[in-house]
Amino acid sequence: MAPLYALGCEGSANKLGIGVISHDPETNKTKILSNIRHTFVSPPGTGFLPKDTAAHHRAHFVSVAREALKVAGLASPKDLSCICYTRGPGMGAPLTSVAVAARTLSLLWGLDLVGVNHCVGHIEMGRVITGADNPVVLYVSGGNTQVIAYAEQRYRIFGETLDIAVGNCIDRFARTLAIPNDPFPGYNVEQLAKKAFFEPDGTTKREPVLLDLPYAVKGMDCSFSGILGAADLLAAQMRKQDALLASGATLKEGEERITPEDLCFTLQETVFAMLVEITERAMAHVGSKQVLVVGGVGCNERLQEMMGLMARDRGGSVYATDERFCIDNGIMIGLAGLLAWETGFRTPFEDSTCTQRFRTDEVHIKWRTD
Amino acid sequence: MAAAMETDQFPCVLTVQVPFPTARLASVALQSLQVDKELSPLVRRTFSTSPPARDANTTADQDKTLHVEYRATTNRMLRVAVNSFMESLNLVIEVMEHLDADVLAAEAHST
Amino acid sequence: MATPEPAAAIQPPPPPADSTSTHEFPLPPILQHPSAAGPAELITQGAEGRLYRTSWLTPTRLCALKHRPSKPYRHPTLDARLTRHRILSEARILQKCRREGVAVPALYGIDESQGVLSMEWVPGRPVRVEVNEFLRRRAEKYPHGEGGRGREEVTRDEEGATPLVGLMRRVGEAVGKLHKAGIVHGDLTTSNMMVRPWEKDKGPVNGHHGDGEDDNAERSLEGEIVVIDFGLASQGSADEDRAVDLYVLERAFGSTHPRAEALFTVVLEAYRNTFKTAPVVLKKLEDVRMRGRKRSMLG
Repeated sequence: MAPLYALGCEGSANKLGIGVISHDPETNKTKILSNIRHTFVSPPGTGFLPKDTAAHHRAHFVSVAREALKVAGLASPKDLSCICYTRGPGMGAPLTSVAVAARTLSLLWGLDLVGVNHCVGHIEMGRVITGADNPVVLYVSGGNTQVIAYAEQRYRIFGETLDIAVGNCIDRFARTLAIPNDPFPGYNVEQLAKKAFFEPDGTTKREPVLLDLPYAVKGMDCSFSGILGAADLLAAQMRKQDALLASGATLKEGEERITPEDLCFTLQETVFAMLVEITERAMAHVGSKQVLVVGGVGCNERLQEMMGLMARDRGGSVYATDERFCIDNGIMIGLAGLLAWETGFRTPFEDSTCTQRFRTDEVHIKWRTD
Repeated sequence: MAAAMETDQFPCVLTVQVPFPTARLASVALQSLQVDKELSPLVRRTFSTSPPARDANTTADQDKTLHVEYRATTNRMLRVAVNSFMESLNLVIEVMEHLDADVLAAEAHST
Repeated sequence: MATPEPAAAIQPPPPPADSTSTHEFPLPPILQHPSAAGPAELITQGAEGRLYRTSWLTPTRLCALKHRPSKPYRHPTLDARLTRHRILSEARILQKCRREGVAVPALYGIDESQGVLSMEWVPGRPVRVEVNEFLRRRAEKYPHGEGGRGREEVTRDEEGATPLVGLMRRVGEAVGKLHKAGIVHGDLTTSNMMVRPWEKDKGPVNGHHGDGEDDNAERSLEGEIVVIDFGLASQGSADEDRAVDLYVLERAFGSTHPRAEALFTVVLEAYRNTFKTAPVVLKKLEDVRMRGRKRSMLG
């Protein structure tokens, strides 16, 4: 049997991603033929709004899709088995804009439609890229924070955030500091956090200082909104110091000068320690030694490093991917959709809608039999 | 009577007729666009590729046209709904223009 | 990123090298001491600490020694703060539970500078193991395809489910007792509860022992629930905290034992009768669940 091909279209947040992937059901070999992405970047200090993001996806769909087909070098779109699109979770308007285009393609090319759960897409892509066959998965992005393990044809959620997602916490703090959103806010927070930097007088070098933030872990769950609030207060204190120093006054005796680097460093060290802890708890609970990190926050090198240290102590390993696969993309949707299609799954055309809330454990993972 | 009720409650009406080069494309547009339900209870809409029955002067070209009717309680609601429809329609037409199988085949042939 | 990014190269990153599978840790200093009593055996490596079985004062009195090694992934300041806080709080809460008559291991000793806590050894197996063993036996008894019951969800009324239902009821009562005593556990899972076999002649008066063929196996579900692992516990009686405690257990139960998920209602029913404001907590639990379901998953 020849390999099968699928087109994957993703647009649940501010990335529009379209790609072509192939999978051979006999050998289980996967090949990426193209992986094109175009990101909507909003100005510093702002987040991306659903309406503007949807307009971005509509404006770029055709050019990104054409590029994906061209790079893949398929003789004809008829060589594809199906068109896969993100059904959810995500922002309603951007999801729908991509679904409209995916439906049109499916009719024009006479192909089946497959609606895909975004989180399952991340997990399947991560498994294929890293070769981790049955890991505990930490899924961390702007909208999701989940610790997941597979059992009986479902990806079961063992732990998750009780309020906002970790990526949302970081992104919003980046907005507080008015850090640029290009390429993405978390990346810039990471760069600031790891900078060996100088005191504001430009002479003395010092390491970033760990400031006090709350630490909020409940079993395998955690929460971030209290941390964001406390970090925002520290940022306000820093601005007060800025104003004070600018007016020629000096800080109070014994008061440490707070810098943006300290704040980014502290935020990362705190929230990542929480993530590693809940992941380790899930590993201990289900008795697994592999951990796979997926989602946009998963390409943070400090998080990967911390996770690696934890896994090493457990005699296991961490599997992570880089930004091509970690950050939302089309091929992850194509892969998860194609795997479902091979088991006979189709999304009836009249049901090819989107849903903002779509839990990872709702999907029947028919293609895994372990 | 029901129709009269509709008119009373949804007095703001806009009909759009979108001509397509072929009946196939008109049908593709119709199907792609009508899957997503109209979210607002203040708006009603109908899509079809056949003209409303009251139109007597049917021609062969009729099924190449997408007939759209929007009804809303206020002009503001009507504007929001029609704008959103136009944005999606624009995307569908763009996809047809640049990604239909024959378009891609012709391009592949010419290069 | 104004223009489409160039096509990504197709080489996936290399998988990480697997560490050695025979993984050994140095014993905590207290167990390396020449006068250390008896051999120590590493029992589990939890998320926070390693649990050793050793003895206390006399070679026959078994003791559980929990060592919280420093976590290399954590910033040293944060690590020291968390380790110290958790070990002291665990000791304090174990003491309080004993005073209030909640079944927990007795505290023997503590050395927070070394990150070591020693306590009574609780015989028996975790609830997680007992539930999974029950489900495994059930699947064997009713194999897939022959009626197919083994792969389906357990219902409380089905034949043979009584011992499991009983266990669930005792779990609910144990959590209720804990909450009544003013303790919120912070990490309730079926791994953090032991089923301690009834002591001879001290079993429940109306303890029924069926005459079924696998009576012995089913009897392992009998026993007292002993809650362990209080590292994330705190003192408090806020309904919200109690509800989150239950929510954490509910989710852990559902994902760990999907086939027995329906029996979790038994846990909640038993909990309802354990203290006066328990119904308020259960009402609050509904809010916590809604929050979980309604939470925006944007991005």
